[in-house]
Amino acid sequence: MILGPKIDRTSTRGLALILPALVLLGPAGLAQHADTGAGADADRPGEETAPVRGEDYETPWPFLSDKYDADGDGRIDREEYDRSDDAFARLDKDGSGAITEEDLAGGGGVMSGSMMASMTLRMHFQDDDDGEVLARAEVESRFAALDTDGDERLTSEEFDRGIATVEDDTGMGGMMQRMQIDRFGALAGEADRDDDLLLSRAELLAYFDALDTDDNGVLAPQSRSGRRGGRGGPRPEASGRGSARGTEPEEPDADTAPNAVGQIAPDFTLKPSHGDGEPVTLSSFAGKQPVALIFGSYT
Amino acid sequence: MVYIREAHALDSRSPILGKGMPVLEEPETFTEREDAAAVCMAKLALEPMPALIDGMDNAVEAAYESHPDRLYLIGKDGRVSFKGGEGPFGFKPDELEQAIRTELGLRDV
Repeated sequence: MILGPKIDRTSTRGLALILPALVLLGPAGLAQHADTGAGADADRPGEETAPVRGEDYETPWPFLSDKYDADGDGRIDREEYDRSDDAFARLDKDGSGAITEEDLAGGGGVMSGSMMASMTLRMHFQDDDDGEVLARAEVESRFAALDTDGDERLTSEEFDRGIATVEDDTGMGGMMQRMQIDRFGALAGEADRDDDLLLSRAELLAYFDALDTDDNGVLAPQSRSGRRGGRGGPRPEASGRGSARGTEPEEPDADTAPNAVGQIAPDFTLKPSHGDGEPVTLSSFAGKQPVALIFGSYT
Repeated sequence: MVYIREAHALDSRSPILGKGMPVLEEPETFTEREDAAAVCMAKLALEPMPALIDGMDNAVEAAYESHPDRLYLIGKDGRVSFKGGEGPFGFKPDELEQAIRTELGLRDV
C-alpha cells in the first residue's frame, strides 16, 4: 500500500507529546465536537435512511455498494454514481464500465515490493543529515555499521536491530513497524542474487547502482506523486547534485519562498471544524502567541 | 490542525485499501470536508486540538506546500520559525515538539 503517516495512527503518540505544549501555546478556544451522526446503517439506498457514512465501514466495497448500488445488482454503473468522471474511472480499476467488488479487492494502492525495497534503501542507509539524498558512500558505511558480526552479509536480525536504534517511531518507520511491513525482506527480495536470503555488501551496492540510473553515485529522493505541484524538492538531475553540494541540497529558492523559515507566515482565515466559533485568522496571533500548524487529513 | 485535501481518498490516485483503513471519498464540498475533519479529530482522539478547514480552493495547502501532510511552527512574531519536512517521510512530530520547546524557551527533554 502507499504508505504515509497521516495524522493519526502513525503520529498520535508524537502528537500526544505536542498537545500539552499546544495547550501552553493557547489554542484559540474553538469549540470542538464531532458530530459523527447515527450509527452504522447499512440498509439499501432508495430508502430514505441516514446517509451512508464511510466511517461506519471497515472496507470500501460495502460502503460504495450501500451508497451507490441502487438496483442492488452488485455493480455500480455510471448512472448510479453521482460524482466526477475522473473519480469513477479511478474506482473502476478494471475499466469494466462499472465499479464492482473486484475493483476494490485490495489491488489498488498496494506498494510493490520493488517500491518498498527502494524506499527501505533510501530510508535506512542514510548516514548524514542531507535529507533524503543518498550517496553510495553512505550505503557502504551504513552497511558496515549494521553488519555487526562483520561477515559482510546482513541478516534480517542485524537490519532490524540496527535500524531500531535510530528509528523515529512517531514517523514513517514507526508506522511500518506497527504494520509489520517486512522492509528487509523487500530489500533482500530485490537485491539478493545468490538466494541465500542475506544481503551481501556487493549485492546491496549492485542494487544501489541499478537504481542510480544516471550513474552519479547519488540517489535523489524518490519523487512523490504528481499531486504536489510547484517545487517538490530536488529533482533527479543528471549532474552535480551529489552530497558534495553542501548543506543545502534542496530548492535553491528555499530562502525566499513565502513559507520559508524567517518569512512572515502566509496569512489565512479559515473556518473551524463544525465550530460555533468565528473564523480564525493566523495573523491575529502575531505578537500574542506562537501557533503550531499541523497540515493533514484523515486518510 | 489545518485540514486539507485527503492524502489517500478512496477515489484518489493512491487509495489505501484494506481492513481498518479509513473509508473516505475525497470531499467535493466544504461541508463534506468539514464532516471528514470532524470524523478525523474524533476517531483519532485529537480533540481538543482545534481544526481549521481549508477552503475548496486548497489555497492554504498550496501556500504552505503541505500536501499530504506537514508541520510548521509560527513564532510569536508572526514569522515561520519551524518548517518541517515534506510528508510523509519528512513528517516528524518530534521535530515540531522540539521547535515548540525552543520557541517557548523550555528545557530540552
